[in-house]
Amino acid sequence: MNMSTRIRRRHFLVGAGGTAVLGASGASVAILPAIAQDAQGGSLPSYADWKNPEAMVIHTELTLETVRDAIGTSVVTSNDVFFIRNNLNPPSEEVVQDRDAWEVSFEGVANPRTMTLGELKTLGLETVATIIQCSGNGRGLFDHDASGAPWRTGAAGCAVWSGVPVRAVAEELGGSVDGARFMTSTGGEELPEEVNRDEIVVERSVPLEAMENAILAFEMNGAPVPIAHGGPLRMIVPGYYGINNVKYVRTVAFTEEESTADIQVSGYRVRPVGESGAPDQPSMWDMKVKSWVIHPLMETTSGRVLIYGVAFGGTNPVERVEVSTDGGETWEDAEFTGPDLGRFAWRVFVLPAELEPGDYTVTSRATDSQGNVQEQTTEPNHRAYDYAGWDRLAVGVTVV
Amino acid sequence: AGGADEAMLELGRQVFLTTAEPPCGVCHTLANAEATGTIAPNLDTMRPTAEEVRNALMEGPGAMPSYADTLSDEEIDAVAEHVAAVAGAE
Repeated sequence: MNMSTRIRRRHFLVGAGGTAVLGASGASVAILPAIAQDAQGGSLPSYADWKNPEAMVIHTELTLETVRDAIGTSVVTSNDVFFIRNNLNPPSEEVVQDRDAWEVSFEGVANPRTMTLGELKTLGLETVATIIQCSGNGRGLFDHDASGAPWRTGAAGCAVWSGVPVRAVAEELGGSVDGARFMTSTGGEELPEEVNRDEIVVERSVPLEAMENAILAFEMNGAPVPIAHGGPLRMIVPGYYGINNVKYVRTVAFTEEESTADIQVSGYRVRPVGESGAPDQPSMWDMKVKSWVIHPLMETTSGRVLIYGVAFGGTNPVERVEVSTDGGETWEDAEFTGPDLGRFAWRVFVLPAELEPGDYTVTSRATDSQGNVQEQTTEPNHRAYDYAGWDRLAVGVTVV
Repeated sequence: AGGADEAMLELGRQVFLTTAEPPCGVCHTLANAEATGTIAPNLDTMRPTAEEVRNALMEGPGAMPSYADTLSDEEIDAVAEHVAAVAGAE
């Protein structure tokens, strides 16, 4: 709460105080200092008490953000700093006492049936590095008062997931039924009987082609998937926003129509501010091209400064990253560093710069393999989803 | 809870427990209302402001249903004030 107030006030000061920097196309660039990314908030909730408290901004028990520079430069975001966004409370520890006994029902295939994780593990093994990013990442960078956590950059992380390819399971069960156009995954949370299921169930449909890359993951960065991240079994849909990566997955169905759950029908729909969610609006499926700087933040010493950050293209490989130290007036190409873990992972970029003492507005702009360039600004949308504009992802840096 | 009188808070408690469909207490814990729902965030730990409760009721963020069409403005205000006043209290 304090944080969002501080950010909004800062927006106001930037706008009214004349300290805005002119961008390349003449639009004003709001400087958002990294100070609001300090770890803060209450104590870690018990299901996530193994997280590094220094690296987390605790918005609520179900929304924990990674501090901007805590994602590090190793490409993979370690589990103890990985962000959390749960739509419902996680299930109890009991679900991981015997992980291989976890059951998943498969529907919309020639031979529908329920399989245990132990049985699933005999069908195939695949590993994929992918970013999980909450749809609302960057909500705190919008000016309008959308409800939900005011995430800035830290509702995103890149992890290596191992699991069973969904297409191998479908094949084992005789293939998906004719006419199937979606893959629908349902979370295993036990819902209260008094509630109409569609009102609160976490159930998401994605286009059937996403099945080609999807895995039922039981391992995250070399460890059994923690409950906080969807263990014992999580649907991973590489390149798709977090919500589609259903935790505690209990049912996978190949369906002709999208789910009738509210979270599909009217939730996670992109629309103008003030408009209600509806099925004809774009759904939060595949992610867009985006990057942001993680170093330097706030203040650094003059001389040679390494400017680095992360960049990704959603379902396309990221091909280029440019860095600006003057709020978008001029740009220089950065270099990628570290291993390329595939098109769904982010890449770490670095640009060495010689910086004299003074104030700088540092930001980055990514381009994917299809020529899509990261936008300068993100137009407001009702739920304040995915702020990807390089203007407000910029950081104000004082070089001393 | 600025401006909320006893009657308003009582209305809020009633809406929280029974009038709202589904009632808030089915999913949320709120000790003051003797509500013990466990699927949604515990309001005693969350301690939302009245404004945050109002926004959530109108919007239905994440997996929460919107009550914009099923509760009156007065009822929504009452729940918001009630929750903000009693959350985290013994």
